[in-house]
Amino acid sequence: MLRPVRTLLTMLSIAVAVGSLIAVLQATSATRKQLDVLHQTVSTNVSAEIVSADGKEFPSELLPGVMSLPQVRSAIPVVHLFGTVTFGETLVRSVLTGVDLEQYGDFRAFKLTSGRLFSSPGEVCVEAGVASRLGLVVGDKLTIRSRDVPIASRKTVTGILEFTGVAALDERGSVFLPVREAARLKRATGKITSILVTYADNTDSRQMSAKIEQLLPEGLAVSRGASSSELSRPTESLVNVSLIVAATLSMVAAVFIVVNTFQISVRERQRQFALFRIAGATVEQIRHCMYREAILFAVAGTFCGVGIGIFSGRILTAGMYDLFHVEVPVIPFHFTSVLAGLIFGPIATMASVWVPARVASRVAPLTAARSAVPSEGIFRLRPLLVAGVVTILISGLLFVINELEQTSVWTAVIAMTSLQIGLILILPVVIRPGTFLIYSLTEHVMPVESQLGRRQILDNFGRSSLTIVVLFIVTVSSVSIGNTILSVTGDIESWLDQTVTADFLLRASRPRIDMSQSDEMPENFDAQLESIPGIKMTDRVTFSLITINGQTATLAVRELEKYPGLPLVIQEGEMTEVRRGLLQGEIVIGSVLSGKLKIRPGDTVRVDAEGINQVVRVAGIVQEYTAGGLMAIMNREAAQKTFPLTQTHVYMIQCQDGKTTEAGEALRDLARREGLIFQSLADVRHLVRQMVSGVTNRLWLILVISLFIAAFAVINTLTMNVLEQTRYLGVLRTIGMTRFQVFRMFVLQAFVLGLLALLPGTMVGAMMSALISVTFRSVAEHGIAFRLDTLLTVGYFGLGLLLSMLAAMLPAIRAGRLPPLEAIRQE
Amino acid sequence: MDTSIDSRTEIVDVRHISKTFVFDGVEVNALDDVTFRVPRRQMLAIMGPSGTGKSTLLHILGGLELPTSGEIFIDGSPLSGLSDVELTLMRRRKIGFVFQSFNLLPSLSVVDNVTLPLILDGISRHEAFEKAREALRQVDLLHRLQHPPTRLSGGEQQRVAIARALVIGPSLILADEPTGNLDSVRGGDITGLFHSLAREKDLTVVIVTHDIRVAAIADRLIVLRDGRIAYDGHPVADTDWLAALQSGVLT
Repeated sequence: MLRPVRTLLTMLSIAVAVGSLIAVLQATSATRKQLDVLHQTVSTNVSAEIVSADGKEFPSELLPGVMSLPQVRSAIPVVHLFGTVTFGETLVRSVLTGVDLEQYGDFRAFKLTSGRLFSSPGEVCVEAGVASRLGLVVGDKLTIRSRDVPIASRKTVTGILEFTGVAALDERGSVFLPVREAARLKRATGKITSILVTYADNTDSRQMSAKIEQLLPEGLAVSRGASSSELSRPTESLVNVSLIVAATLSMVAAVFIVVNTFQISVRERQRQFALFRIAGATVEQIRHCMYREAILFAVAGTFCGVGIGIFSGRILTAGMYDLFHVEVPVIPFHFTSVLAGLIFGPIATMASVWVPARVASRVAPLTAARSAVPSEGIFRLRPLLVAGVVTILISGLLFVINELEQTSVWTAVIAMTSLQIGLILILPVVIRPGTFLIYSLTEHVMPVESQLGRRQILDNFGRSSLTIVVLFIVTVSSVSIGNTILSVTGDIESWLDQTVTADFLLRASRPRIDMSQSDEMPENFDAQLESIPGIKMTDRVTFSLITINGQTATLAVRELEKYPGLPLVIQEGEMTEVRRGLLQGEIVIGSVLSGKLKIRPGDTVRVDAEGINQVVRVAGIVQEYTAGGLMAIMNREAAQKTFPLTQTHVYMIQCQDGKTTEAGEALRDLARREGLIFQSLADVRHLVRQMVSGVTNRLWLILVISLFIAAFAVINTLTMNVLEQTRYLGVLRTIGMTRFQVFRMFVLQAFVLGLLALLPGTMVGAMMSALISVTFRSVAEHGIAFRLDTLLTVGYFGLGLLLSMLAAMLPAIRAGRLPPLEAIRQE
Repeated sequence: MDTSIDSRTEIVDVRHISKTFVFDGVEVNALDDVTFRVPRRQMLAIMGPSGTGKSTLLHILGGLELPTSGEIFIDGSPLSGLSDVELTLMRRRKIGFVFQSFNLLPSLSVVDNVTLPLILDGISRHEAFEKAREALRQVDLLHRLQHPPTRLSGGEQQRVAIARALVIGPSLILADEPTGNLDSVRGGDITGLFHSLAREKDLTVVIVTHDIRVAAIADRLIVLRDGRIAYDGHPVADTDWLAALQSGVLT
């Protein structure tokens, strides 16, 4: 085998195929995990919380019943009580939480920064913020007082806990003690205030809540918390499907590259095989010769590919940081993805060589006598067209079934995959007219390059089609997954921007996950706040556990009239109408709740809050993530006319421009004095943004890998074109074609191949993303609004086209530099 | 020694050119101090045993290869010192090439093969087509305009290659074994075509050949032996070239 370039390209094709598969699998897995972390940051792991409607404690006997339900992964009793903690001369307000910390990790992310967990009634663990405020270390003794029992209780600090994600905000100011001891301090021995529940993966939380509710005595309710499993399930499915489709398509693209290489190899060596046949080689001998060769390529290529797959992620990570200062966390090593690559490499190689080997073995011995390699056989388009149209029709049918019947997520997945396969099948039909159209435009500027390039693309229709299909596949998957992930992260960011308008929060204690219970704020607190300079506005928020049309939900009552617009992301309804309605006493409903109750703006709902039952008109539907999206919002003044909601749980404080730091310090002092919990929302925004950028940076990594696959496909095809056309390039150079003309001809070819793939690919990718969004809206409670990211879509198109042309540089330069004489002598 | 050249009467001026190749570290002299001039409208045949430097000389004349030493003037212009682009443009506008294996592009039709050098030179498609028709008329292939080359006989393919060489209106045609792949009848046709073109079209034709019948109708014959000119004269006026050729074969 004395063709080093061809040998290297064949091996590289397999290596790139295996490597890209491993890299994509690892990157998609890492992205999925990062998105999960993001969701856990904006929510928690609590699927549901069983509470009493009146906020009172209840017997813990029903716990075994809840735990016996097959879909319940974990359920723990909790006792919350409000109180104070004193250490030395300093006293702070605190939430005293009785809970088994060994199990609490299933619900809230935390780590023990020092000491150990408590093991006796006289021991407590404290949240890091409390420890810092009081200057506590492990071994210190503090005094706790419950609001319910006026007796002080001395406790030893055994450990300091640091909470992460949103839990870090919720658990601020907490002191943890054994459940029994907390119940004793609450004067409610044997009773608890709530049960926290997490469900197993893929559990339908609506059905589960209904099942649990059947077990509950009157007065108890299931409140669905700000749970990641609840909140992120639809978006997780959305992204998971995109990532699975991307990984599958990258596998298909990889197979195409290998098939392409072997096809080219066979065509190039047709004369050689014919000579073997003349020399007496049988059909089987030629076929086996190719299989043996393929096995060698498969082994060498697969091992190289595993290396590429493992290290490319790291190299790209470092490269992206060096180039753009974008921090992409290192992709962890996954043995399963490497195993997938090890299995995929040989199978894809042997599958790819199967047809070319059969074609090669059938070469007529007389072919050797011909001076020129014959053109490819006629490419049959009609069967492809028919198959493509049928596949698209089947996909359409599945979409309709899914829309009407609201079947499973997988119906939608199969429909989308079928649609893409159908489009791939009909793509070759547009290649011929597309090639003519593009070259007719370039012909005025580069007549020879256009004429010869067009011939080369159309004469090698199979190879050109395969290249275009590979580019099309990676473009569709990249653009669709890119837009889907950016829609998800954009959704979270816009919610954050529009709803988290305050700079600081002040509250008496951590609320329950449904936000409905909190300690009381100090007296004359409004006056104290007013005395702080630099405060622009305060929004007093009250939470209440209510039922809407019988469904438990959280009502947030806010001073919405103080905002020029509305600090809400309105999904349905017109802003001014929604605002007007709210000021008149109407209610807005969170999207998850509206989906569950099938409520639309203008409908009326029965609201049961604080013992008062009232029919209220729905002003609009809003995007809401807190309390698992089971949220309703009313204007404070209007709501108070109907419901006795006088208490303030949280103060949302907005500062004047440029006074944030100064006012923040004053508020921090006030909180310290009054023993309140002070939260800077800038921290929340920063935390969420960090997570979002973690997801998007991983997305860029996937896109870079896909562009690399695309570039390799172009290099592969054009290098093979140069190798195959060497003799004719020599003729062209001899009769007067300059090196630059040869160079331009190949770069133009790459441009045409790229355009034919990227233009439909980008459009189909964007369409797929929209389709994913629409389809999942119908199968999930909380759909994600589709946003076309122009930068990503247009950028991918432009960069892909540029990269295709850059990828052509190497073969084009090689073609231009071919010495005419040597080229002419080439057989 | 007179070093001037009258480009009105002479198109090729080869002065003391040598060409040395290195194969596996061993130097081989393909051409050794070769000097000759070719007047316009002459049909020059170059013969010699295999490996004696005939094709190398032809490639050097066409600017496809550079001599190790010596100078060449084509149409009064020196080839030494020309860039790749200048050499390419000279080939495109002044020199037509004809190869033994035709070297037509199988994906292009007959007429597209012929228009290629013109389109490379930026001539409009319409004008190029008209000129290609004229060139194909001269080689009597007007009826094969849109055929792919693979459907033509060897003789026809070679005539297409000649039309492609003619279409640019060259001053010089360099043909490397143009009848080597043809039978004697078709080879005779092609030789006759070259002869009449040289007469009627103000063309100079340099043919490298092994075929004595081709040499016999040439205006002049150069026999190369061991990279040197062993004979330079009229092929019919005397028969010394036969002896030179035979001795070369024997050596």
